[in-house]
Amino acid sequence: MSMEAYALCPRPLAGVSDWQTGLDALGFDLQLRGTAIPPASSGHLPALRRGRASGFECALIPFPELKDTYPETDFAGSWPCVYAFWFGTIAESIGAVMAITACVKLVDGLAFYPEEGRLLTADQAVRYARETVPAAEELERQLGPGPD
Amino acid sequence: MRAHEPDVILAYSLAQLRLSLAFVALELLDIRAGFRPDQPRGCDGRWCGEGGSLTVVRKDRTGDPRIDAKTDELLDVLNEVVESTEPGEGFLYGTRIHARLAARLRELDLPGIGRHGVEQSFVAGDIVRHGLSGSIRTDVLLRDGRTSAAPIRAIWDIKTGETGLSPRRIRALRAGAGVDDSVPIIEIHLLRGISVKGRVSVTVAIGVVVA
Repeated sequence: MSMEAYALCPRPLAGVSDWQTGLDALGFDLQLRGTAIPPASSGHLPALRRGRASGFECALIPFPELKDTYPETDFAGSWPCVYAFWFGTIAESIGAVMAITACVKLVDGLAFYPEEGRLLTADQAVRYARETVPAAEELERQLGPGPD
Repeated sequence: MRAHEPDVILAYSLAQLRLSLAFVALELLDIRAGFRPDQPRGCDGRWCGEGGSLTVVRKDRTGDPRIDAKTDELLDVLNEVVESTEPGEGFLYGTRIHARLAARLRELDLPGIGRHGVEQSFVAGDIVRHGLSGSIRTDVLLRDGRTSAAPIRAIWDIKTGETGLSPRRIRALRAGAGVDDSVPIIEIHLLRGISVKGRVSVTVAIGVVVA
Protein backbone atom coordinates (compact mmCIF):
# COMPACT_ATOMS: atom_id res chain seq x y z
CA MET A 1 0.00 0.00 0.00
CA SER A 2 2.86 2.27 -0.74
CA MET A 3 3.51 3.82 -4.09
CA GLU A 4 6.47 5.94 -4.99
CA ALA A 5 7.47 8.71 -7.36
CA TYR A 6 10.41 11.03 -7.78
CA ALA A 7 11.25 14.63 -8.61
CA LEU A 8 14.63 14.98 -10.33
CA CYS A 9 15.95 18.47 -9.84
CA PRO A 10 18.99 20.49 -10.93
CA ARG A 11 18.97 22.20 -7.52
CA PRO A 12 17.19 21.76 -4.21
CA LEU A 13 14.14 23.80 -3.31
CA ALA A 14 14.87 26.68 -0.95
CA GLY A 15 12.30 25.62 1.63
CA VAL A 16 8.64 25.21 2.47
CA SER A 17 7.72 28.72 1.30
CA ASP A 18 9.48 28.19 -2.05
CA TRP A 19 7.57 24.94 -2.59
CA GLN A 20 4.30 26.53 -1.49
CA THR A 21 4.84 29.36 -3.97
CA GLY A 22 5.15 26.76 -6.71
CA LEU A 23 1.93 25.05 -5.64
CA ASP A 24 0.06 28.33 -5.49
CA ALA A 25 1.36 29.40 -8.91
CA LEU A 26 -0.13 26.26 -10.42
CA GLY A 27 -3.41 26.82 -8.60
CA PHE A 28 -3.09 23.59 -6.63
CA ASP A 29 -5.14 23.53 -3.46
CA LEU A 30 -2.44 22.05 -1.23
CA GLN A 31 -0.99 23.72 1.85
CA LEU A 32 2.30 22.34 3.11
CA ARG A 33 2.24 22.22 6.89
CA GLY A 34 5.78 21.08 7.66
CA THR A 35 8.39 23.48 8.99
CA ALA A 36 11.22 21.95 6.97
CA ILE A 37 11.72 20.01 3.77
CA PRO A 38 14.39 17.46 2.86
CA PRO A 39 17.30 17.35 3.46
CA ALA A 40 16.53 19.19 6.69
CA SER A 41 13.72 16.70 7.31
CA SER A 42 12.66 13.26 6.16
CA GLY A 43 9.62 11.08 6.62
CA HIS A 44 6.08 12.39 6.51
CA LEU A 45 5.66 15.92 5.22
CA PRO A 46 2.27 17.12 6.45
CA ALA A 47 -0.04 18.91 4.01
CA LEU A 48 -3.68 19.89 3.86
CA ARG A 49 -6.08 19.79 0.93
CA ARG A 50 -9.61 21.03 1.41
CA GLY A 51 -9.07 20.86 5.14
CA ARG A 52 -8.03 17.21 5.11
CA ALA A 53 -4.64 15.58 5.59
CA SER A 54 -2.99 15.05 2.23
CA GLY A 55 0.67 14.76 3.19
CA PHE A 56 3.17 12.16 1.99
CA GLU A 57 6.57 10.80 2.88
CA CYS A 58 9.47 12.61 1.28
CA ALA A 59 13.24 12.26 1.47
CA LEU A 60 16.29 13.28 -0.52
CA ILE A 61 18.09 10.31 -2.08
CA PRO A 62 21.35 10.13 -4.04
CA PHE A 63 20.85 9.97 -7.81
CA PRO A 64 23.03 6.81 -8.17
CA GLU A 65 20.59 5.02 -5.87
CA LEU A 66 17.71 5.87 -8.20
CA LYS A 67 19.76 4.67 -11.18
CA ASP A 68 20.54 1.42 -9.39
CA THR A 69 16.87 0.90 -8.58
CA TYR A 70 15.74 1.62 -12.16
CA PRO A 71 18.73 0.56 -14.30
CA GLU A 72 16.70 0.44 -17.51
CA THR A 73 15.44 4.01 -17.28
CA ASP A 74 17.29 6.78 -19.07
CA PHE A 75 17.09 9.75 -16.74
CA ALA A 76 18.49 12.15 -19.34
CA GLY A 77 21.67 13.01 -17.49
CA SER A 78 22.74 13.24 -13.91
CA TRP A 79 20.63 15.02 -11.31
CA PRO A 80 22.18 16.53 -8.22
CA CYS A 81 18.96 16.53 -6.23
CA VAL A 82 16.37 13.75 -6.20
CA TYR A 83 13.31 13.95 -3.98
CA ALA A 84 11.68 10.56 -3.35
CA PHE A 85 8.00 10.43 -2.43
CA TRP A 86 6.06 7.57 -0.85
CA PHE A 87 2.28 7.59 -0.54
CA GLY A 88 -0.56 5.13 -0.10
CA THR A 89 -3.98 6.64 0.42
CA ILE A 90 -5.81 8.51 -2.31
CA ALA A 91 -5.43 11.78 -0.40
CA GLU A 92 -1.69 11.22 -0.09
CA SER A 93 -1.43 10.35 -3.77
CA ILE A 94 -3.13 13.59 -4.77
CA GLY A 95 -0.90 15.59 -2.43
CA ALA A 96 2.22 13.89 -3.78
CA VAL A 97 1.31 14.48 -7.44
CA MET A 98 0.68 18.17 -6.73
CA ALA A 99 3.91 18.54 -4.75
CA ILE A 100 6.03 16.72 -7.34
CA THR A 101 4.57 18.85 -10.12
CA ALA A 102 5.19 22.12 -8.30
CA CYS A 103 8.71 21.01 -7.45
CA VAL A 104 9.78 20.15 -11.01
CA LYS A 105 8.04 23.22 -12.42
CA LEU A 106 9.94 25.48 -10.02
CA VAL A 107 13.39 24.15 -10.92
CA ASP A 108 12.72 22.80 -14.43
CA GLY A 109 13.30 19.23 -13.38
CA LEU A 110 11.75 15.89 -14.33
CA ALA A 111 8.94 13.95 -12.65
CA PHE A 112 9.33 10.18 -12.57
CA TYR A 113 6.32 7.94 -11.98
CA PRO A 114 7.71 4.39 -12.02
CA GLU A 115 4.24 2.89 -11.66
CA GLU A 116 3.58 3.97 -15.22
CA GLY A 117 7.17 4.18 -16.41
CA ARG A 118 6.66 7.88 -17.09
CA LEU A 119 9.50 10.37 -17.06
CA LEU A 120 7.96 13.79 -17.59
CA THR A 121 9.31 17.25 -18.26
CA ALA A 122 7.95 20.03 -16.08
CA ASP A 123 5.27 21.01 -18.58
CA GLN A 124 4.30 17.39 -19.18
CA ALA A 125 4.13 16.89 -15.42
CA VAL A 126 1.70 19.80 -15.13
CA ARG A 127 -0.52 18.31 -17.83
CA TYR A 128 -0.29 14.90 -16.16
CA ALA A 129 -1.29 16.38 -12.80
CA ARG A 130 -4.21 18.29 -14.33
CA GLU A 131 -5.51 14.99 -15.75
CA THR A 132 -4.65 12.74 -12.82
CA VAL A 133 -5.78 14.83 -9.87
CA PRO A 134 -9.45 15.17 -10.96
CA ALA A 135 -9.54 11.43 -11.71
CA ALA A 136 -8.07 10.66 -8.29
CA GLU A 137 -10.56 13.02 -6.66
CA GLU A 138 -13.37 11.17 -8.41
CA LEU A 139 -11.92 7.91 -7.08
CA GLU A 140 -11.84 9.49 -3.62
CA ARG A 141 -15.52 10.34 -3.95
CA GLN A 142 -16.28 6.74 -4.94
CA LEU A 143 -14.21 4.98 -2.28
CA GLY A 144 -14.34 7.54 0.51
CA PRO A 145 -11.50 9.63 1.85
CA GLY A 146 -9.84 6.83 3.85
CA PRO A 147 -8.36 7.16 7.32
CA ASP A 148 -7.07 10.54 8.51
CA MET B 1 -40.94 -28.40 -59.48
CA ARG B 2 -43.58 -26.25 -57.96
CA ALA B 3 -44.48 -29.17 -55.63
CA HIS B 4 -40.93 -29.09 -54.23
CA GLU B 5 -40.94 -25.34 -53.53
CA PRO B 6 -42.22 -25.58 -49.91
CA ASP B 7 -39.45 -28.12 -49.18
CA VAL B 8 -36.84 -25.77 -50.60
CA ILE B 9 -38.16 -22.86 -48.59
CA LEU B 10 -38.22 -24.98 -45.45
CA ALA B 11 -34.68 -26.22 -46.09
CA TYR B 12 -33.53 -22.64 -46.63
CA SER B 13 -35.17 -21.50 -43.40
CA LEU B 14 -33.64 -24.38 -41.48
CA ALA B 15 -30.19 -23.59 -42.89
CA GLN B 16 -30.64 -19.94 -41.93
CA LEU B 17 -31.64 -20.97 -38.43
CA ARG B 18 -28.66 -23.32 -38.09
CA LEU B 19 -26.32 -20.55 -39.24
CA SER B 20 -27.81 -18.13 -36.71
CA LEU B 21 -27.42 -20.73 -33.97
CA ALA B 22 -23.82 -21.28 -35.00
CA PHE B 23 -23.12 -17.55 -34.67
CA VAL B 24 -24.78 -17.47 -31.25
CA ALA B 25 -22.71 -20.49 -30.18
CA LEU B 26 -19.55 -18.80 -31.45
CA GLU B 27 -20.41 -15.64 -29.52
CA LEU B 28 -21.01 -17.70 -26.37
CA LEU B 29 -17.66 -19.43 -26.82
CA ASP B 30 -15.97 -16.05 -27.19
CA ILE B 31 -17.62 -14.82 -24.02
CA ARG B 32 -16.62 -17.97 -22.13
CA ALA B 33 -13.03 -17.70 -23.34
CA GLY B 34 -12.85 -14.00 -22.52
CA PHE B 35 -12.06 -13.10 -26.11
CA ARG B 36 -11.92 -9.43 -26.96
CA PRO B 37 -10.78 -8.19 -30.37
CA ASP B 38 -9.10 -5.13 -28.77
CA GLN B 39 -7.09 -7.14 -26.23
CA PRO B 40 -3.36 -6.72 -26.97
CA ARG B 41 -1.16 -9.61 -28.11
CA GLY B 42 2.54 -10.11 -27.54
CA CYS B 43 4.98 -10.73 -30.38
CA ASP B 44 4.42 -14.47 -29.93
CA GLY B 45 0.71 -14.00 -30.55
CA ARG B 46 -0.36 -14.67 -26.97
CA TRP B 47 -2.81 -12.40 -25.20
CA CYS B 48 -1.00 -10.10 -22.80
CA GLY B 49 -1.39 -7.08 -20.58
CA GLU B 50 -4.48 -8.32 -18.84
CA GLY B 51 -5.27 -10.08 -15.62
CA GLY B 52 -7.96 -11.96 -13.81
CA SER B 53 -6.95 -14.07 -10.89
CA LEU B 54 -3.48 -13.86 -9.41
CA THR B 55 -0.65 -16.18 -10.26
CA VAL B 56 2.31 -16.28 -7.93
CA VAL B 57 5.45 -16.28 -10.04
CA ARG B 58 7.92 -16.05 -7.24
CA LYS B 59 7.52 -16.59 -3.54
CA ASP B 60 10.57 -16.43 -1.32
CA ARG B 61 10.12 -17.90 2.11
CA THR B 62 11.41 -16.62 5.43
CA GLY B 63 11.44 -20.14 6.88
CA ASP B 64 9.22 -18.98 9.72
CA PRO B 65 5.95 -20.91 9.26
CA ARG B 66 3.85 -18.25 10.98
CA ILE B 67 5.21 -15.43 8.84
CA ASP B 68 5.04 -17.47 5.63
CA ALA B 69 1.45 -18.47 6.39
CA LYS B 70 0.61 -14.80 6.91
CA THR B 71 2.18 -13.97 3.54
CA ASP B 72 -0.14 -16.55 1.96
CA GLU B 73 -3.07 -15.01 3.78
CA LEU B 74 -2.17 -11.53 2.51
CA LEU B 75 -1.85 -12.89 -1.04
CA ASP B 76 -5.35 -14.34 -0.72
CA VAL B 77 -6.73 -10.96 0.36
CA LEU B 78 -4.87 -9.20 -2.46
CA ASN B 79 -6.30 -11.72 -4.91
CA GLU B 80 -9.79 -11.02 -3.62
CA VAL B 81 -9.27 -7.26 -3.92
CA VAL B 82 -7.86 -7.51 -7.46
CA GLU B 83 -10.71 -9.73 -8.62
CA SER B 84 -13.30 -7.34 -7.24
CA THR B 85 -11.67 -4.15 -8.53
CA GLU B 86 -12.56 -2.44 -11.77
CA PRO B 87 -10.00 -3.11 -14.50
CA GLY B 88 -7.24 -0.64 -15.11
CA GLU B 89 -3.56 0.09 -14.98
CA GLY B 90 -1.05 2.70 -13.95
CA PHE B 91 -1.15 5.27 -11.20
CA LEU B 92 -4.91 5.41 -10.64
CA TYR B 93 -5.29 1.64 -10.73
CA GLY B 94 -2.47 1.35 -8.19
CA THR B 95 -4.11 3.95 -5.98
CA ARG B 96 -7.43 2.12 -6.17
CA ILE B 97 -5.86 -1.25 -5.30
CA HIS B 98 -3.89 0.23 -2.39
CA ALA B 99 -6.93 1.97 -0.94
CA ARG B 100 -9.18 -1.07 -1.23
CA LEU B 101 -6.56 -3.47 0.10
CA ALA B 102 -5.94 -1.34 3.18
CA ALA B 103 -9.67 -1.05 3.83
CA ARG B 104 -10.20 -4.80 3.38
CA LEU B 105 -7.32 -5.72 5.69
CA ARG B 106 -8.67 -3.41 8.39
CA GLU B 107 -12.09 -4.96 7.94
CA LEU B 108 -10.68 -8.50 8.27
CA ASP B 109 -8.78 -7.62 11.47
CA LEU B 110 -6.40 -10.53 10.87
CA PRO B 111 -4.82 -12.22 13.91
CA GLY B 112 -1.41 -10.73 14.68
CA ILE B 113 -2.06 -7.82 12.31
CA GLY B 114 -5.34 -6.37 13.49
CA ARG B 115 -6.57 -2.98 12.39
CA HIS B 116 -3.56 -1.14 13.74
CA GLY B 117 -1.09 -3.33 11.89
CA VAL B 118 -2.32 -1.82 8.64
CA GLU B 119 -0.65 1.45 7.64
CA GLN B 120 0.83 2.15 11.06
CA SER B 121 2.96 5.27 11.47
CA PHE B 122 6.12 5.31 13.58
CA VAL B 123 8.88 7.60 14.74
CA ALA B 124 11.98 5.78 16.01
CA GLY B 125 10.03 2.75 17.08
CA ASP B 126 7.18 4.63 18.74
CA ILE B 127 3.67 4.44 17.35
CA VAL B 128 2.45 7.89 16.36
CA ARG B 129 -0.67 9.27 14.75
CA HIS B 130 -0.89 9.08 11.00
CA GLY B 131 0.37 12.23 9.37
CA LEU B 132 2.79 13.26 12.09
CA SER B 133 5.69 15.22 10.67
CA GLY B 134 8.74 13.03 10.10
CA SER B 135 6.90 9.74 10.64
CA ILE B 136 7.46 6.59 8.57
CA ARG B 137 4.56 4.31 7.74
CA THR B 138 4.65 0.57 7.24
CA ASP B 139 2.09 -1.15 5.03
CA VAL B 140 1.35 -4.25 7.10
CA LEU B 141 3.05 -5.63 10.16
CA LEU B 142 2.73 -8.79 12.22
CA ARG B 143 3.13 -8.69 15.98
CA ASP B 144 3.83 -11.49 18.39
CA GLY B 145 0.76 -10.70 20.46
CA ARG B 146 -2.34 -8.58 20.54
CA THR B 147 -1.04 -5.39 22.11
CA SER B 148 0.91 -2.61 20.41
CA ALA B 149 3.79 -3.39 22.80
CA ALA B 150 4.15 -6.92 21.40
CA PRO B 151 7.32 -7.43 19.34
CA ILE B 152 7.10 -6.96 15.59
CA ARG B 153 7.78 -10.22 13.74
CA ALA B 154 7.54 -9.13 10.09
CA ILE B 155 6.75 -6.14 7.87
CA TRP B 156 5.12 -6.40 4.45
CA ASP B 157 5.41 -3.78 1.74
CA ILE B 158 2.82 -4.12 -1.00
CA LYS B 159 3.58 -2.58 -4.36
CA THR B 160 1.78 -2.27 -7.65
CA GLY B 161 4.98 -2.35 -9.64
CA GLU B 162 8.00 -4.48 -10.31
CA THR B 163 10.71 -2.50 -8.63
CA GLY B 164 11.82 -3.53 -5.18
CA LEU B 165 12.54 -1.43 -2.15
CA SER B 166 15.92 0.23 -2.10
CA PRO B 167 18.29 -0.68 0.77
CA ARG B 168 17.81 2.88 2.06
CA ARG B 169 14.03 2.48 2.19
CA ILE B 170 14.36 -0.87 3.94
CA ARG B 171 16.64 0.72 6.53
CA ALA B 172 14.19 3.60 6.95
CA LEU B 173 11.26 1.22 7.48
CA ARG B 174 13.21 -0.81 10.07
CA ALA B 175 14.44 2.31 11.84
CA GLY B 176 10.95 3.77 11.87
CA ALA B 177 9.40 0.61 13.28
CA GLY B 178 12.28 0.23 15.73
CA VAL B 179 13.28 -3.26 14.62
CA ASP B 180 16.60 -4.78 13.61
CA ASP B 181 17.69 -6.83 10.61
CA SER B 182 16.19 -10.01 12.06
CA VAL B 183 12.71 -8.72 11.19
CA PRO B 184 12.05 -9.52 7.53
CA ILE B 185 10.70 -6.87 5.17
CA ILE B 186 8.62 -8.84 2.71
CA GLU B 187 7.71 -7.23 -0.61
CA ILE B 188 4.58 -8.26 -2.44
CA HIS B 189 4.46 -7.00 -6.01
CA LEU B 190 1.28 -6.86 -8.00
CA LEU B 191 2.66 -6.77 -11.49
CA ARG B 192 -0.43 -6.59 -13.67
CA GLY B 193 -4.03 -5.65 -13.41
CA ILE B 194 -7.27 -6.98 -14.66
CA SER B 195 -8.98 -6.02 -17.87
CA VAL B 196 -11.97 -8.24 -18.35
CA LYS B 197 -13.56 -8.90 -15.04
CA GLY B 198 -15.89 -11.87 -15.04
CA ARG B 199 -15.19 -12.79 -18.63
CA VAL B 200 -11.78 -14.24 -18.45
CA SER B 201 -9.57 -15.73 -15.84
CA VAL B 202 -6.14 -14.50 -16.44
CA THR B 203 -2.80 -14.00 -14.83
CA VAL B 204 -1.57 -11.35 -12.54
CA ALA B 205 1.98 -12.02 -11.50
CA ILE B 206 3.12 -11.57 -7.96
CA GLY B 207 6.61 -11.88 -6.61
CA VAL B 208 7.47 -11.97 -2.94
CA VAL B 209 11.00 -11.02 -2.04
CA VAL B 210 12.47 -11.26 1.41
CA ALA B 211 14.94 -8.48 2.12
